[in-house]
Amino acid sequence: MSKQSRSSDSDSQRSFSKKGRSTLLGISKDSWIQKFFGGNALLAIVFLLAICGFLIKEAVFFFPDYHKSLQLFRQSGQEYVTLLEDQYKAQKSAYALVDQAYNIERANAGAAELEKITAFATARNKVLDFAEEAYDEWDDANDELEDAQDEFDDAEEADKASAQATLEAAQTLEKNLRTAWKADVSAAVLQQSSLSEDVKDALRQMQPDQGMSPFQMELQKAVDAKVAEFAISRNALRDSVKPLEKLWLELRDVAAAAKDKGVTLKTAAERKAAYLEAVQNAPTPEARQKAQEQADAVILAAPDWDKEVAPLYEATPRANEISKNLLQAIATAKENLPDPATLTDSLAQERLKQATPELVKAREVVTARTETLNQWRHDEKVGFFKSVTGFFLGADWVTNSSWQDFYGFLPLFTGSLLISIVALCIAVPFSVAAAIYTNQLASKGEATFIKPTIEFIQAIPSVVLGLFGILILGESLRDGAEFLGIPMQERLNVLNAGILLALMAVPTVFTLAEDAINNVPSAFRDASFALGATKFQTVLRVIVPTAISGIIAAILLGFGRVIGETMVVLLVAGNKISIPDFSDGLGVLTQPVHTMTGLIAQETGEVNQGSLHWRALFMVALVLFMISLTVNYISQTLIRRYSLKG
Amino acid sequence: MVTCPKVTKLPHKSLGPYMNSEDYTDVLRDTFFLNKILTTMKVTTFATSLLLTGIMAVSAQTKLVIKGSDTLGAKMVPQLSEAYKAAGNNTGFEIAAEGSSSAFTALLAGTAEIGMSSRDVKDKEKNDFIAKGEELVETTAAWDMIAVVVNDKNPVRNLTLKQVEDIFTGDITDWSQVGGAPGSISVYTRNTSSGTYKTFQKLGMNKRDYGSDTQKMAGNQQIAEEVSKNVNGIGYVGLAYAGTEGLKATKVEGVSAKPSKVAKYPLARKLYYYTVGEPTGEAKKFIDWSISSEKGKEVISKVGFIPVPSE
Repeated sequence: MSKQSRSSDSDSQRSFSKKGRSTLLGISKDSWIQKFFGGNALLAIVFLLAICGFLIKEAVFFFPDYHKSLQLFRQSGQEYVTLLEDQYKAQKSAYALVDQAYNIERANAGAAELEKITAFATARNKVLDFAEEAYDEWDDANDELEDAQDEFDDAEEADKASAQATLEAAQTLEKNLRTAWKADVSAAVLQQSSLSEDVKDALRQMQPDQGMSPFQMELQKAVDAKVAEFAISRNALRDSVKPLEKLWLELRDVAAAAKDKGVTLKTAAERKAAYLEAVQNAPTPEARQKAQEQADAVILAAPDWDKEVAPLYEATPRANEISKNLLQAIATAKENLPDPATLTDSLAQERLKQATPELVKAREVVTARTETLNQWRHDEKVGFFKSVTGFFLGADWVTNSSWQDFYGFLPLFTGSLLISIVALCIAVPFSVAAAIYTNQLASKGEATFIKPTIEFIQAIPSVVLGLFGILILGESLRDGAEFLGIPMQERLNVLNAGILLALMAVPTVFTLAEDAINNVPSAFRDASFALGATKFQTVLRVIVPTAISGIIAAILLGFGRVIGETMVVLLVAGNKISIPDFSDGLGVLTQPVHTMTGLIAQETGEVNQGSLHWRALFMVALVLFMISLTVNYISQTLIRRYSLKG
Repeated sequence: MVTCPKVTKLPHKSLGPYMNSEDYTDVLRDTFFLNKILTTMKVTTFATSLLLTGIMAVSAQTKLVIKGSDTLGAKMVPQLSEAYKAAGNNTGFEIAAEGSSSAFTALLAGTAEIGMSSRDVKDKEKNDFIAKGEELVETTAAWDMIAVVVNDKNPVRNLTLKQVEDIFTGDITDWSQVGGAPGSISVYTRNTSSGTYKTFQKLGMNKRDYGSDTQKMAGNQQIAEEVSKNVNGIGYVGLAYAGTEGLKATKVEGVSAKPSKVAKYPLARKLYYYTVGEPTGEAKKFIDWSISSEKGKEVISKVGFIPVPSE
């Protein structure tokens, strides 16, 4: 170095000559710097390709694996059993409405009695809470008494006397503690001054081992009498599903056992190989023999599926009979259910009216599933395409199930999309308006204040926004909705997540849109003014139309930003994996949903690497990546087109 | 570290011993997804201790092989073994958690001293031991208990097991069907990667799948938070969270969710140690210590189970 500096001292011109420059491996310093920057760009591309490759590598086997899983689902007869379950669930969901109508009607018809029951039950809960300790003591003594009674009953003649002594001691203890409990109850009753005398009396007469007090039962009976006729048809409908439930649960075990065999078979070869290796490495002859025995015990042959599912085929006539009866029962129920108009409660009327189409639907489901059931063959091949449609169009995402995992992408996709659209609907007007204002209309002082402030929002960590959404925004939204008379049961929902994501999208959209507007040549503006346009006309007719492709690109990048956001949606979206019910109109905004990003974050933690579930999550990640990439590509294209124009 | 909000509300006065500072860490972990990091740290500690064990083995150390259920083997037994060693016992541990069935095969083959199981031994498995002229001895290691919680403004205080099943599978959708005021039920559950998710399915849902309208929350704390803020909410939590303000644990089949009622409560199960013959030597010492010592009980409560009440 000293030599070099001396030489540059001696002749300053030489420092510009090639000879004076320091080189490394024959490449000059400037060249190295240039290579470094160029290399960074290259590295980014390499990373992008590596991520693509990694995602594809993990996801690519999803479809073949899923196909195998669906094939086993059919082979083991689980599909058959699910056909029964579908019928059960369809009947149950129709019955649920009838049951609700019945219970609401009952509550209304017997309002006076039920009010008394509720008052009694509330007081009872309070009294019981007060006497809880005494109750626990009594309960333990009671257990002991039961044990002592058993012992006494089983005792030999010789031990009878001592057993009797124990029994009597236990009886006394139980009696004393019962009295103590009753004393506590009476003390608690005294505190309940607002109760009517008959309720107080009933409370004092309670026994610790009594399920429902006679007072309550009398009242319940009176209530039941008022809806006796409705009760008959409702109970008939309730009980009609029982044979189906029994058959379903019975066959469920058969299919589950068959499936287990199929699953074990998958790893059998590996297990056998491991045991054989153990044979090789066994230190003693005994150990070798044991490993050999274990190796021989591993069954490599596929289970005899025909034999495994034979009970299902045998059950088909029974299933047909049951379905026939069920259809009959649903039809009868429709006949026998009271006319909604005769009910006294409007909500009950509504529920009963809703029940009618549900009952029709249940009939359709029962008929259709029974038909499929009769044609069902366990050895029919599942088309490979089914695993693809099953993923992209599947409406169920069921994992870690004891029965069968399903990987349907649709609920996640609709959830992500819905939240993103809500976020953009909120963010775009604000951020674009702010961009126009700051760039065109604001004074310099205002602009220097507004710009950094909006961009500062970006600095808030998303987990902080998420906690804000849980603790403050959710509650305020619900209070606000209640004030306006809009039902909002869940505080974690689409709207809550959408608002927070809008907040995150604003800086992105604002900054990019402002850039786009800024890039409009000032000649356009000047020309517009020269033609006598006002400031406002210039902005709306000249500036915005010129910058529009840039603004759209900004919006698209904002979309890319929100659809990929994870923490906020994980904490705030409510995580319900089902397609939102759009029939609710704008009410859909108050529903919880799950998202692609949230699900990946939630489920990746404990999944076995390389399992089907793992691959499914990577498949979701891959689709998400593709969406982001496409959105980015489109916006880049738009920006390019725009800059050519400019 | 970010402070977790409202943590102060958690402990319930009657649950003092079941809630300690470690639970706050659990809350943070559940909420902020530190599982991975913690697991890695645990594995590292475990590996280090294994290494140390290896070095110490030279100085004539007893070794205990424990195999079986992953419910016990995931957290409880490894942490118990650490605490046991910390208590001054020079014992090496080999713990393999591959499911309850593996406990019995390992005991039968003589490759483990203690078997861990989250279920009773099946008759068929018992017969294998009888055929060999051996006796299988069962010791209760701890209890696993799940409380079903509703909002404290909800009048429903008791549910049957069938009602619990129907609510969580989505067959019952309205509170009016189980004696409450009309209102559609919001169901909050743990997410699929939680062990409780599966346990609850087994104990409370007849192994059926959760309804598609259930909301999957990150942890106990989040479920408690949502149910306490939603009059129509229902969820299940570990016992330590059942006392959160605004919540009420319902009785199931008339039995309340309390440590003292664990034997009768339907959503509770026993976790077992199995040994061939009465436990002897180091195995006996470890089992006795983990069941009856204060430290052992503390570890068991910390990982969310209930220690066996001492006689």
